[in-house]
This record gives sequence, structure tokens and C-alpha cells, in this order.
Amino acid sequence: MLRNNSFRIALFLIGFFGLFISIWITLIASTILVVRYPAWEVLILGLLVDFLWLPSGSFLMNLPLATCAAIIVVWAFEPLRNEFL
Amino acid sequence: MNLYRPNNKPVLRRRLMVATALVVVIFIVDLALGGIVRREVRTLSVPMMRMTSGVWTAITGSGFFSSRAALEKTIAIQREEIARLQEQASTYNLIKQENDQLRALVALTSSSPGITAPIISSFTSSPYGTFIIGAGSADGIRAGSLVISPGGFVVGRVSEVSEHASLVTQLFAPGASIDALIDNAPVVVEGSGGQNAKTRIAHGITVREGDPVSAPSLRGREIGIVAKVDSTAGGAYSNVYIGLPVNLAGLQFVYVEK
Repeated sequence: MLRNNSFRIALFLIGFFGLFISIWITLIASTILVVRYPAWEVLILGLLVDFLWLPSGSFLMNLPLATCAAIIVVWAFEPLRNEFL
Repeated sequence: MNLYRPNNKPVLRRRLMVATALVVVIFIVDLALGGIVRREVRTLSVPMMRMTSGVWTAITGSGFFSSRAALEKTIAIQREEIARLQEQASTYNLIKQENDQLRALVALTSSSPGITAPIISSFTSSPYGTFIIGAGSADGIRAGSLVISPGGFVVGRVSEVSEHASLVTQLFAPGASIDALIDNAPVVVEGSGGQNAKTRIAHGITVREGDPVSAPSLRGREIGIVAKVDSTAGGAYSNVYIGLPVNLAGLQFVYVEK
């Protein structure tokens, strides 16, 4: 249980620091997180990507793709996780 | 002893639902307040960005992620050279590169008033073709200010300004478009991201690789050069691929017009 949580925290930290290095690091860490855990952290990462890099303005002009993608993948993997984990 | 695994799925699902709702609420609040939350997040992340960028540069500079061949080559060189001299040489190169960029930026200041600002974020961090510079409203930067490379090419425009940092959107960000001129032929350039853009031009107009691309709306400043002309596509138009002749990843400073 403890090792499981450590792995999850480590993945979140990798994803978080990836925000400042390369979006691909965040993307890979997030993917592993959503496949393995019901990871609400991925929603935070998605929100942070948009808050850091997306200029504010009208919603339609600057669509928060990262937040939307995070919500979609977190919930899309829910049935899969329920079935196998 | 209970041998059954506890079924905590409803709790986890509820937690996920609360987190989703919270994220949506935070986003709506930020939207309603005109982006105050994201500006605060950006301000708070500036020291983190500087630190991460420094650590990453140190790691990549140390050759940790080099290929086997590159590492073998480095080892061969290291055998021949004294470690202290090598360190001095790399420091010298770094300072020289920085100095060259700053010298080029000084030349720009004579043509238009502005400020030299450091780039504090990585170009590969943003999926939206944006980056952050270490100068803001306190330095006289306004939204819409032009951001220019040491070579004189317009790299982007300031989108959002906080006190000591600004978010810059690249001209060639994915989905962005700008009216431009290639050899006096008007075209609409569409950004493809990664410092590339493309446009279409009628077959009758002669365009060669290396031709400069300028934007009348940016006071005629150059925004790139023609990288490739593809005339093989059918129809009356040729596809023209435009590139920014600047290594953005290696850029440390930019000039921001006031």
C-alpha cells in the first residue's frame, strides 16, 4: 500500500516538474497515473498546464484543452480500472 | 482476520467527482475574474521555473543523456584535456553565447525603444506555443508588445503581463495566423507550432527557398524565411513552408518593444 502510494506520488511529482521542462513528461506521467489509479492529481496537472501556458481571454478562442483532456481521460479509464484493478 | 479486500471504489469515485467539480469551479472562477487566478499561478511558478530550467540545463549540459557514441567521444576528449581547462572552456562558451546574443540585442535598441528580457521557461513546456519571459508591467511591458530575436525576427507577441513576468504567444503557434508578404506577394501564414508555419501561393509567383517573409501589421518586420516550396501539389497553388531561422531552444534573451 505504502509502495503503491509512493509510486503514485512520484509520478505526480514527475508530471509536476515536467510542466517546467517538457509537456511530454507531464503527458506520459499523467497517462500512467490514469491507467493505474483513479488519479484526481491528473486533473490538477491539466488545470496547471492551462493556467501556466494558456492566455486568458474568451473561452472559445482559448479552449482549455489540457483541462478538458484531463477530465476526459480520468473518466474514460474509470470502467477499465473498475474491471481490472 | 478479514480476508476480503475492502471495497473502497465508491469512495474513490466520489473523490474523483469532487476533484472534477473543483477543477471546473476553479476554471470558471478564473474566467469570471478575467484570469486573476492563472496570473497568480504564473507568478508563483516563476521561481520554480528558473530553478527547474537551471537544473535541467546542468543535467543536459553534463552529458547525462548523451548517446553512447557521444559519451565515448567525450571520454576520449576528457582523457586528452585537463578537467579544469574543460570546465573553463565550457563556461567561456556559455558566456560568449550570452554575450553575442546581448550584443545583437543592443543593436536593436537603437532602432526602436524596448527592453531586453530573459526567457525563463522552456519552449517545449507549453502545448499552446507560448513561453514566459522575465519582465513584466514593472518594466514597461504591455500586452501586444512585439518580442524580437537577437537576429531581428519577430518571435511572438506578449499575451499577458504580470508584474515581473509575461506570457508570450509565438507568431507561429499552432492555429495562429498572420497576414504577411513574400517577395511582395500577400499571403496568410498559418502557424504549425515548433517555429514553423505554412501558406499557399499562386503558381505564377516565383518564390525561392531563403526568401524573407515580412508582416506589414508588424511594421514590416521579418517573421521568418521560406524553408521549402512544394509545387508538386495539384491545383493553382504551391505549398510554401516557412521557418524561423532562430534556434528558439538555444535563445536566452529576447528584445521586447515597448
